[in-house]
Amino acid sequence: MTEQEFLKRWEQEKPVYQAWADFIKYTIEQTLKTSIAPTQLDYFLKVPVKPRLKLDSTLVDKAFYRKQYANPYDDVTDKVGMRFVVLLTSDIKKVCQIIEAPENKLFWDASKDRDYEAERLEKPLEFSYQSVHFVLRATKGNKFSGIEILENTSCEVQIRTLLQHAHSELTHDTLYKPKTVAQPGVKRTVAKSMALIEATDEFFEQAMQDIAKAIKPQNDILDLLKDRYQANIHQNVGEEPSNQLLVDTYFELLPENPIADISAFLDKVGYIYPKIKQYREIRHIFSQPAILLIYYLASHSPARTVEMWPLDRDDLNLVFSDLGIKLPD
Amino acid sequence: MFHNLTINRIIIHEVHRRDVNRNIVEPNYGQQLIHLENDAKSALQIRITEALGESSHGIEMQIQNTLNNSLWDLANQIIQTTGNDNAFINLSQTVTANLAEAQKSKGIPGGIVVVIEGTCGHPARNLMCVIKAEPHAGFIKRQEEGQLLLQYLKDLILTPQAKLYKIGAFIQANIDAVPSPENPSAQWKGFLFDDLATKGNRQGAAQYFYETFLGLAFPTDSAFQTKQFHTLTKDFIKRANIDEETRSDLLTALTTYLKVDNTATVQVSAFSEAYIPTAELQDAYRQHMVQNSFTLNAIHKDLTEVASALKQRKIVFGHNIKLTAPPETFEDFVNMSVIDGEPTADGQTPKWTQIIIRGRIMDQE
Repeated sequence: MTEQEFLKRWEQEKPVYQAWADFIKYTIEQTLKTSIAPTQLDYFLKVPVKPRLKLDSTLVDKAFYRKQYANPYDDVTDKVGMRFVVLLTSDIKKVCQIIEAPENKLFWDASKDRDYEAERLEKPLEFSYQSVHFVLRATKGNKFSGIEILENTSCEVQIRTLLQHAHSELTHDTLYKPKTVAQPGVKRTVAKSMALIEATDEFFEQAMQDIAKAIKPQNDILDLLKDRYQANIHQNVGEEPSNQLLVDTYFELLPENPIADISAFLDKVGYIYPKIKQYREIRHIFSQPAILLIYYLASHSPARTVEMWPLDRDDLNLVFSDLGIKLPD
Repeated sequence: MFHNLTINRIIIHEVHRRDVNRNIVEPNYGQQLIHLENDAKSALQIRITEALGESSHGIEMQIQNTLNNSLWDLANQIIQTTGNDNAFINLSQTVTANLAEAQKSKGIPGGIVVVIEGTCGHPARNLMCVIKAEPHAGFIKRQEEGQLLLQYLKDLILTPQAKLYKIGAFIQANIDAVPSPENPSAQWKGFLFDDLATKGNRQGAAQYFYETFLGLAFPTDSAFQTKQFHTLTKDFIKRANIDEETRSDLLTALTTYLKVDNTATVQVSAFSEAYIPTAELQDAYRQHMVQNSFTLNAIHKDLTEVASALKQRKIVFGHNIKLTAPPETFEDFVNMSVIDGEPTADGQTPKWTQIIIRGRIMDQE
C-alpha cells in the first residue's frame, strides 16, 4: 500500500471511524452514568471525553516512517481515539469493567494493549508512562448516526487518573516516544515524578477509603432519612451538601443507636410529612431529607438544636411549630 | 398538645374600648372568612405554638363556665360547623360580643378578635382558638422608584416581638371521656396565653379575659405543682455533673426565681433559659422534668406549699459545719469559691471552700 492509497482509503473511511468513536463514547458514558450514580458524569470524568481522528500527516508519519508495519492501514490501531480521565485508580477499574462487560461483546472485541499494573509487575524498577489502553474493534453489523460501521474498525480508548494524565501531558511527544534523545538528568526527573504520582495515587485511594469509612455512620443516617423522605414526602430527594452539613453539625447529639431511635420517632410523627411537602415548594431546606433529623432533634434536645443551628432561623421556627414546641429564646 | 396544628377557618372582628359612660360600643363584626396564603398561615401557626405550645408560657386551665353561650359552649358548637361557614361566622360574632361584654372597665383597650377553627394533635383533635390582639404602631420599608422609604403603620397586630395579644384555646382532647351533667366539658382542655401572666406584674393575668370572657380558672393544684417544680429542679441541680460553684449559683437562682421574681407563673424553660448556663445542661434539665412527668408548660405560681423550703438557703460541709442564710441576702452577701487546700501526707491536694461574708460577726453561741 502506498502513501496515496493509504490516504485515499482514510479519507473515505473517516466518517465511519468518527461514528465508531462516537458510538463507543456514547455507550460507555451511558453505562457509566448508572453505575456511578448519584455522582454526576461530568464530575466523575475529570476531562470531557472527545473522540479525535489522527491528522493525515501524523498518520502517514506513524504508518510509514516511525514504525515498520506489515499492513500499515490495519496495524495503526489508534487512527481514532479517546481518553477517559478519572480521579482514582479504582475509578479506572470502573471504566475497564464496562469496556470488558459481556453485554458489550455484541458491539466490540476489546483487547488491552497497555496495562500499567501488568507493566509494573514486569518492570518493577522502572517508573514510566502509565495508562490503560484498549483497542476496540467493531463486530459485524453496528450502525450509529445512520452510518454503517465496518467490521474490525478500530478505536483506541485510554483510561488514566488525573495525575497519570498530568504526567503524560508533560512528557507527550518528548520522552515516552522511544527514539527521543533526552538527557539522563531529565529522564531521571521525569521518572521521579512518575514514582511520586504512583505513590500519590495510592494515597488518594487510601484517603478515599478512610473518608468513606469515617463518614459511614453519617451516611447510614442520611440513607435512612432519604428512604423515609422518598416514601412519605416526595420522590425527588434533595441531595445538596446542606444534608451533610446538618448531619455533621448535629452528629454529636445523636444517641448511641441513632437509626432505631430516629426510626421510632418518625413512626410517631407521621403528621409532619404533609407539612414538609407543603413547605418544600418555597423553602429549600425542606426539600432535603436531613430536615427530618431536625424534627427529631427539636423534640429531643431543643436548646442545643437552636444553639447549633447553622441556617436561617425561620426554617427552624416552622419545625418547632409543627411539633407544637415554642422555639427557645 | 399543639403539635400538628392545622388552621381550617379564620375570621376577624373588632371590639372597642367602652365609652365614657362605660357602655359597650358595638363591635365591628367581620362578615366573611379570611383567606391566608400558606406562608401567612404558617406565621399564624407559629404565633399560636409560640404562645401555647410545649415550653411556652401558655397555661393549661380549668374550664369553669360551661353554661349556654359560655366560651366553652361556643367552642363546642363552632367545631361542629364544618361545611357551614355561616354558622361559624355567627358563632364567632357571639364570641366577640362576649368579649365586649367582659371588658367592663374603661381601662381595657379594644382590639382585633381572631377566631380560629382547626385541629391539633396526632391523631387530630378539634380546636377552637380566640386571639385578642391589640393594635400597635410600627414601620415597614417600602421601595418606590428605586428609593427606600419608611411607612408608618398604626394598626399592626400579631407581630412576633410586641406580645400585645392574649389567646384562649379549647381542644376536644379526650374524645373517649363521657360528659356528664356535673362535668359537661369532660372531653375538653382549656389553655390560656396572657403575656401579663409572665411579666413582672403582681396582678398576673387579666381576669376579665381568662375568667369573665373565657370562663377559665387557674388549676386548683397550682400549689402542689409549684412544690413539685421546686423539688424536681432541686433534685436535678443537686445531682447534675457541674462544679460546686455552679451548683451553688443554681440553687440560689431557684430560690430567687420562685421567691423574688415577680412572675405569676413557673415554667421549666423560663427558669432554664434565664439561669442554666449551657444548652447541654438545659436539655438535660428539660429531659429530667419530662421523665418525672412534669409539664413543660407554664403553671400558675402558688408558693403556699413551698414557702418553708424557701425560707433558708442551707449549705452543709464536712465535719458537720453548716451555713444558713435567707435566700434574698445569700446572693449579695455570701461568696463561696472552691480552692486547693494544703497537700496531705500522701501528696493529694484536697478541695477546700473559701467563704467571704460581707458582714461582721453579730452574735456567737
